[in-house]
Amino acid sequence: MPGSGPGLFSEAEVRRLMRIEFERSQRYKIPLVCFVIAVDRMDRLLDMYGQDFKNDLLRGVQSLLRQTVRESDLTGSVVDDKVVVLVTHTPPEGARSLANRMLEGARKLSFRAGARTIKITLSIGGSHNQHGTNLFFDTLVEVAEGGLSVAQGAGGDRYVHSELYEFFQAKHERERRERGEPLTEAPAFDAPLEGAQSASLPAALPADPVADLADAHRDVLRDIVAEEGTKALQSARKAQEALVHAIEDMQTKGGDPNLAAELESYKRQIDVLERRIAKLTQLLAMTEDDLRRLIDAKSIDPGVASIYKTVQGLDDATSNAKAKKELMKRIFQANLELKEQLKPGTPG
Amino acid sequence: MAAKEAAAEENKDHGVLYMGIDLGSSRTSVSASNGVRETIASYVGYPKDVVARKLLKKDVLFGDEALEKRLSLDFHRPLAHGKLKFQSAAGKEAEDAVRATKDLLAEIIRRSRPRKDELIYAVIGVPAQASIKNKEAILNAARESVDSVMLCSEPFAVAYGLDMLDDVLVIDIGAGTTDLCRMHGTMPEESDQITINYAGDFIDDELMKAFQKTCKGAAFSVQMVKTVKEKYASVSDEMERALVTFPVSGKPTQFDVTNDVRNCCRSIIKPIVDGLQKLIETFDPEFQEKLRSRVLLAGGGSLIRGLDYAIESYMHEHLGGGKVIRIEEPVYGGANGALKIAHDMPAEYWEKLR
Repeated sequence: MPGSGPGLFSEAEVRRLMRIEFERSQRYKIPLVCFVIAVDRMDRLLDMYGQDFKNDLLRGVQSLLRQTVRESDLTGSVVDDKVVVLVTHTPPEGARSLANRMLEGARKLSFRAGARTIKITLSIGGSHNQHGTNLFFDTLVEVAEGGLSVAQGAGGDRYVHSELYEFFQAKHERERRERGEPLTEAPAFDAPLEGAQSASLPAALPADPVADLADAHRDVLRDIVAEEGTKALQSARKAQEALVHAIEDMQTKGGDPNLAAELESYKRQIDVLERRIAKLTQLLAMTEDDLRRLIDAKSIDPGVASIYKTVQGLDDATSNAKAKKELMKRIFQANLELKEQLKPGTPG
Repeated sequence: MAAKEAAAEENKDHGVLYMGIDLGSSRTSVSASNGVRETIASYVGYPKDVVARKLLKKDVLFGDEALEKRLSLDFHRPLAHGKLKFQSAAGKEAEDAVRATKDLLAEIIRRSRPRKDELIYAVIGVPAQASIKNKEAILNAARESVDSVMLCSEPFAVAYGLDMLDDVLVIDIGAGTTDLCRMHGTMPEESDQITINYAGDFIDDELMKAFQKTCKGAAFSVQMVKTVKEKYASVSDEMERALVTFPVSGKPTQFDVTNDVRNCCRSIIKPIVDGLQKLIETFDPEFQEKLRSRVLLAGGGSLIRGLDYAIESYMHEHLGGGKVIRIEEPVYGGANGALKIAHDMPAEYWEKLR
């Protein structure tokens, strides 16, 4: 969607305004929902009907969005023909009905391309700020984009509410740490308003083998979640946090003579957590299977039809027809007997 | 009755895909009535852990791909030694063998590209003397992928496919077993069939022993030996020189294993001819000569160069004569025959076995 299209803010403008709105909502604990919306099969429609048609189509969608959301809500473009909508004063439960209204409205839209009438559908990904973790605006949008990807991958014309807050949040925290930026952009939803310290991971842990281990765990978890898009995230996150707390404690008690005993205790904890992670990994693998089945279902081979007549069949003109028919009967009878023999309850 | 059968025959070409499957120890092949023919090595592998799964991007691998990646896999050869492994295994190993057989059958059926809207009727060739437990396991494995299934003896399928039903001896040399079958115009009975273990795997074992003596200090695996066999297998005096390279203390070293390959390949001739002798001597004396002069050589083992002539000359020496004919398509011989049986089977029989 063109960033400077009529009625829409540019990407930079909408981002700035949305950040302000987002921060206000966080500060005053106002429930807020973020949608990222895309028109299904946009690339194909552009290929088939050209840029003018695409512009018509986007104007139509924009008009639909204006009718569906309130004046005070923010609608703007992001890259790759996606539209981001920030809806304030809306709890997560309300997001679905709002998204459904958009989907329904889109289905009713029709566009002319020469003599043809083209119908469209939308895919919508959603996120909200009620998750209870420290949240960045970028996280909010990325979580919604994740939902959009799933919606598109599942065939479009649907709304998917993603819950991958921890994953994207951890990613942003790590990136900010690497850049040396403070982690205080987004106070927690229920954190004190002023002077709140981020409750997230320490900015820079000193080089330490235990910290490295924790980092390794974080990386593994991130990779898994990124790949699988999974449900097991919360438990994995708890495991990760427990490890980090353990490390923090170790660091604060650096000179403690009982350090060895505590270290042993933490090792046991790590062992338990590792086993839990293994279990969660199994769950993730199952999710991966589900996803793969979905992907496979999209590329079903139609198969090759039977061409029976090209192969010899058995008719009276066939050589040895009588003997062969008798053989067929014998094979059938042998198989029938086998079937009877193998029936449950038949003595062996 | 004739009208009914004709109607049934006519129905065959509407919405039913017929399949002949040769479920072998070494290779599993399918011939289908949509013209597709496929074969895969009978290997199934499951990623050992999540890391392997991520790397391989698959839940299950088959055939040569499984063989190649076997170090990352729980690797199965479910039909080793001509029977489903669960007979000799217990617990998880048995379950794994049954699962691997199911997956192997599902894969070969998938590769035959059936349409979703067609019924699948399959005839599966099984070793001549497969136990009832084996048959049950194969039927259960197949039922998940097909709509109706029948089993028949592999050597019978080979003979049926070639339309050689009268006074024929079939030698079907597989990897796990060699099936010998006497055809005399009717369904072969138990006394018409002999199964021996002198087959591809036996040759591999013999080659392993021989290479250990010839290639002093060399490191090699069964799979490497199998590859050498598949490349050079011959029983001819004038065979191509078999030069192989095995590592000795990490250094690639060349060995001449020509004699070992020839001798080991020859080691199955005597047991096979002994088996033929048993089938011939217990046959009607009037037709023994005819039987001796119609010996069909089939299965992957028939690809050993010169084996038909070697068996023939051994028969001359010990049985007073014989004529051995190597079938044209050893890999698909069983599957083609099974497909032909599937076609020739009246539709009502298929219905009753659903």
